[in-house]
Amino acid sequence: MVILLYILFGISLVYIAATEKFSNYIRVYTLQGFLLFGMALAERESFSYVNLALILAETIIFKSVIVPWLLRRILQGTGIRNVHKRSLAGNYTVMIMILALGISLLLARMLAIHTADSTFLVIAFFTLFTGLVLISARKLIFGHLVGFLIIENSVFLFSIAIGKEFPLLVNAGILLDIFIAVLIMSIFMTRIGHRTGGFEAESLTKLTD
Amino acid sequence: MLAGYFITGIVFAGLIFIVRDRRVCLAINLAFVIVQASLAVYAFSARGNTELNYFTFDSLSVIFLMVMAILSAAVFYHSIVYVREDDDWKRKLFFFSFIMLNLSLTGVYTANNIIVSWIFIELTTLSAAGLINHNRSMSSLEATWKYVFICSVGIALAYIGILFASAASGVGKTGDMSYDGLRTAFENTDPIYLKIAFILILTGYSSKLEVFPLYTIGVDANYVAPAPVSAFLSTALVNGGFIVFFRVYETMAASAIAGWINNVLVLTGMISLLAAAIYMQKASNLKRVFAYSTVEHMGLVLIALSFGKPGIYIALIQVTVHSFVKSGLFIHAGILHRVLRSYKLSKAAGYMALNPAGALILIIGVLLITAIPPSGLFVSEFMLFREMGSDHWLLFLAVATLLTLIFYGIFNKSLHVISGEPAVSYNRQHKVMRTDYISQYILFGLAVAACLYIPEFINGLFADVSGTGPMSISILNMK
Repeated sequence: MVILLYILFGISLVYIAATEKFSNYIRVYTLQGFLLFGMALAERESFSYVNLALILAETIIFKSVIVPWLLRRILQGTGIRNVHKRSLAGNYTVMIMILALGISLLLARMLAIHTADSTFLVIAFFTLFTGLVLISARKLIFGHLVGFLIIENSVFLFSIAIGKEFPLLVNAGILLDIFIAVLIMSIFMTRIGHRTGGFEAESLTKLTD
Repeated sequence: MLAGYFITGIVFAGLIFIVRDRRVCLAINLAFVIVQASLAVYAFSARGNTELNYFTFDSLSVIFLMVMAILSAAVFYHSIVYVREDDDWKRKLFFFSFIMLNLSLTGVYTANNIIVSWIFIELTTLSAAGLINHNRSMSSLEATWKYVFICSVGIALAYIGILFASAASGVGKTGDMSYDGLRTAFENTDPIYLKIAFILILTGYSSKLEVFPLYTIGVDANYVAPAPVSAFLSTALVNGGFIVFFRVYETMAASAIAGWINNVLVLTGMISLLAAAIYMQKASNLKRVFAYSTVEHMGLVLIALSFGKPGIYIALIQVTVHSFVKSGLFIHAGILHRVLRSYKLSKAAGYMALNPAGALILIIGVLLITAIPPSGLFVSEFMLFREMGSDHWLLFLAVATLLTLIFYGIFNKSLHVISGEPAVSYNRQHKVMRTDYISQYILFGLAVAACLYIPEFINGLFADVSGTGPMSISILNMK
């Protein structure tokens, strides 16, 4: 069962890197929230109610409900629909994603930790690389924000992969991180969108020497 | 006490939004500055005590709580002038963010647990954002976006590093994420995991420490933020970055990768120095020149750390004295702006003719930041060069060359502002009072004092952190 979740998560990463529509980003991100919840449930050996509540908040409430709602509001406010500008062409992005998957497999094999599930490590590394690819391959800052959110998913995966018994504090940290990402970035993105009439990263290049 | 401090701070921050009267708002902030100073005094008297499980008043935190108390007072005083003409909402958000930044930094300084440190360093990003975007201009929006975005990505990477190292060392099982617990656990951890974790943590925290690779966001933030805020960000916040990084460094320095860490520190420090030297020549704005100077000093701090215990001692002096000089310089930049109406070198010139008293302070500040005696930075940089000695002559030569370039850059740009021919004619009427200079004289005085005499209790704190005995660091008996 859990292997199905891994595969679905991996496919969602490739899809998010290749898709042209921002609304698809939001759908995939919503799906990833549910998948992460499923993976966390499957991996944890024991649960306290507090722990379960935190994981539920991190995944379903934040990642699948609040963040997608905020992202939709940003898109509605500015009317942008498609990734019409890329730093990298779509086929190059897919090739880089394949390379990233290969590197993730290699890293997970090389860095096998006795306390960690290696399949989980592969997915965690692959998610991290996907986030970095999204940030560097997209010219609109909306794509950068989605890239950051994907990196946050990789942080969550690492916390499950290598710390089945990590204290509550770790979860609290992740929750805070997501909160800041959502709150601050949506505020500033909306302002940038209104000021510049779009989300072009190139419009944010005034600060030079 | 710490619980009381946090509760008081949060209540004060909330009150700022409730009260309507400007003077009451300022009084609340003044009360907070007094509370912050009281905490520093208490921390010194309660040295070694742990409160709320996750916070310890060790020598390192005591040093920087004392430094922050001084900086907070100076920055608050100059903020009053800065926000005088702001509307209610902007002023409230400014002081709210200022209090929250102080609270977060106190958490960063005193946290004895790697996750708690990380949480509080993340909170500094949130509170600093409100201050950086104070002017609401397109530039400040751009700088704030970049600051929040890159800091968040960087800190997320640092978190992955922390999780990775913790899991590899087995502390994930015990749940003991305290620095003491990690230090013991790392002694028997496979070096490859620690190396990966160290690189991730250094990369992530470089956004706060203002060193290579993520130093640019700090430079941009200092450039666009109000001058008193730049004074705080480039000192108290950078000190926070130094503390979180230093605590991780300490836990790993006792492990098998100690030698490798030192090489990485020298490399990162040298690249930071190189970046500062190059971009300082290109900088066309006085605040950017000062901001690159922070990159230079933090680069030197990393190089110093690679020399073990004496290096830690040097780094502590460097960070402390840098805080006094740099905050004084940035605060004075705000005063300079009131006279010249610009930070741009193409417009800002002839300061000496328009405001001789201010120009004198700028000259003193520039001399002190470039480590000319009697600057306390002279002592730390002299000690650093002495450590490099003949064993590391190549490093000695490279650092000396880059510092010369930086020295030229700062002097060249500052002299242009002081005595250059102004491109525009200025109104000689400006609103600078003599009392505006008091804070800079105090801050620079502290930097000079560090060169001549450091009180025994401060020297004891430095010695305690570095693990050396008390060292004689006065210029008067230097060999």
